[in-house]
Amino acid sequence: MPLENLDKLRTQIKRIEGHTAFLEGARKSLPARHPPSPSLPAWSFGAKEVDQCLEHGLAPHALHEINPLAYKDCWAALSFALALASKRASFDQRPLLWCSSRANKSEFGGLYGQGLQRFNLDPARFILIETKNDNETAFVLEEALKSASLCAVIGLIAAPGLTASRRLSLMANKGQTPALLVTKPEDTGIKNATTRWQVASLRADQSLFTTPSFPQLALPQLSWQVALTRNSQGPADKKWHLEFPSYEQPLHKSSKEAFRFALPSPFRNRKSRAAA
Amino acid sequence: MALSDALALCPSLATKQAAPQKDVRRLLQLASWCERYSPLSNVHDDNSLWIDVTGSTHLFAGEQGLLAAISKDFRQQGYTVKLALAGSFAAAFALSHFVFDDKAKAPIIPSQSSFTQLQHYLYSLPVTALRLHENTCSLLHRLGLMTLGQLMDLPRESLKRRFPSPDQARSVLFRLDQILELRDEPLAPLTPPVLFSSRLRFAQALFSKHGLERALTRLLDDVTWQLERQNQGARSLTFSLWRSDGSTSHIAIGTAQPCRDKAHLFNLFKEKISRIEPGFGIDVIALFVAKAEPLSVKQISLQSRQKSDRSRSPFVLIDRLRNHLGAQKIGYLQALPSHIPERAQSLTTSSPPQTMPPLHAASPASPSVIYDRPFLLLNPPESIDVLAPLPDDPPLSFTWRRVTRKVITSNGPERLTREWWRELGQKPSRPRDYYKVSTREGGTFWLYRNGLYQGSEECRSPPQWFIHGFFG
Repeated sequence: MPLENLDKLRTQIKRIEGHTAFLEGARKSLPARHPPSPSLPAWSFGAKEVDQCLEHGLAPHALHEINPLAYKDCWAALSFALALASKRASFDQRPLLWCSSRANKSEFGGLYGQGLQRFNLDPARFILIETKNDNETAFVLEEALKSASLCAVIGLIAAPGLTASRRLSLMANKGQTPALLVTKPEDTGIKNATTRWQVASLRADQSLFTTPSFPQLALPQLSWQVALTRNSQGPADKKWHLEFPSYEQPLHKSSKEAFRFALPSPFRNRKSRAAA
Repeated sequence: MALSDALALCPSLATKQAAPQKDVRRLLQLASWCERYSPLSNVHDDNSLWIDVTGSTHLFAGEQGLLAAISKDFRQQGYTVKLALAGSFAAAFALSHFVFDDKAKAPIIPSQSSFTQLQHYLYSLPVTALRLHENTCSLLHRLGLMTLGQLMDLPRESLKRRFPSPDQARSVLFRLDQILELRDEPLAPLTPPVLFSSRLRFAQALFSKHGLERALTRLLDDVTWQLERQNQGARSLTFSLWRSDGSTSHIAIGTAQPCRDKAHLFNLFKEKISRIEPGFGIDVIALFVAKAEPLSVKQISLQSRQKSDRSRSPFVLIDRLRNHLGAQKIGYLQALPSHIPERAQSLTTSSPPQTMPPLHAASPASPSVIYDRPFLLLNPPESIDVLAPLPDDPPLSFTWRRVTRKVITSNGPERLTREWWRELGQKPSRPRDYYKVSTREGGTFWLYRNGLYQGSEECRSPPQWFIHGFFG
């Protein structure tokens, strides 16, 4: 009983406080804070087969490694990380942090706001950090995870050593913030990562996906060949073709429905969809 | 006189390489050291400093005492200075640079002196003391006006008529007014004026790091109390310390949001304090707030659950990273009104933007075309070698970073022409044809051809191909 009363009083005080203009401004610039994770929905893919491998979705307080299969797949790994972040960002309104070293930025390119709309991500929610090297990146990631104020932390980093990754995973646990680490193709894996996703890009002609609403677009949408090679939340060594359809869905559908991972449709449906 | 001539005359002449940049740096250090006399001081030119001592002379037993103290302090550091004190900067400059007195006593125009007295003091100074342009000075000399007295005796109107251009006459009168205190001269001090400050002096020089942290906590207590009384929050703070050997150190921090949280501010300082060398001991420390913004009084929460509210704000993280990595390393994306891809977005480092307007907002009523943009952009674009049919077909294959990729499917072209309103009077940039291509090795890229194959003015040089972005 007293707790409810307190909550009521608190909202009342907030309403009274709200009259000053500058306070309003300060509040507007501040991203809405959400209560810590227990009340949040599960961080799931939206694709049944994948979600079955993960109990209650991806762990929100752990490291997740995203490893490109070969050098040419680096961009696919980065887009997969963004798609994962987008799934979490749909229910967690806090900002996202993107951290990469200067060398990585010139090699793989810098984040481009208008392209983020395909991921249903608001560019204004990103905090971009450019570091000198991977050591500094590790420091930034650690601080960001510790602060417990972010929706997710995405870092481009060569797989950190045992100590560094242990620290990162402890901080992720402490701050209840997930870290998506996009590593280099030659890395053998982060020991303390809860999941490890090996991502390869899909060739346009190999793609099993069709784009019925835009038949003139012969190009594939965001699609990957994804292998779950490590999973401490369930069975590992699974392989899927996944896509993140953003055109196929009608635009007026709510974003929650439109932006989710999808598996290719069964063979018997494919022809009819292509015909449609 | 050449150096060889001088050495021939005096073989024992000692020579040293001039280092003007070092001189300038040292002069700046001296200017900041001069803050012990007054908070307002700065370098004027290559060899002069100014100090605004208004209201601080009584601390040194009057104007004479102040000049004596300055002269003594500089002599101790190994410098000979020519000092002068006057009611205006222009007069003090003229007296210090153009009074050649054998006696060591510095010229002073007392603050209570009347206009005629002031004129009397300046009467015999040369006109060059007015800081005029060379041409104007030589003109005055040609007219027979050698001293300020001669200039002052002339009626203003007739003075105006003697110059070929009204600008020249105006500059002379302007400087004359300044030196006679008829016109103010704005001066920019080295350190901006502070809004809130707190100072701590030690009876004995401080050496230990622990002691410094304790002292900083006391200063923070004081400053945050001052801020709270005025409903303000600090945006930028400077922690200064003066050592007993005369050297100074300054640590500046900034916050992303007005703040007067002692613990947060202390954490921002803590890391930088550990790098400070106490040297021969620290005499005085001070904390200044140079920028503050309104911050209302906050209700203290009743429940411990909300206690960590402040520490959960991303601004704490941003402050920490800004002060550790440098403010330029943390950025936010901002949309700009342009259709040239690299101009359509900029990275701001100041404060997070409210929202980013989408490029083409698609409403349910009119499901408009979605302009496809990559999520990673190479800036600047990188040049590629391309095998492409003429005139405007998408490439069949391209070589980028020494790897050849074969194109399977492609989409395009999307033509982006130049923004003529930006390029008035410049050589116009060429139109770009963008293609989204998918390669056999996997991966989708955004390529463009800069220029067209046909067309009259484009014929000068063949178009070039670039890679600009990645679709994953």
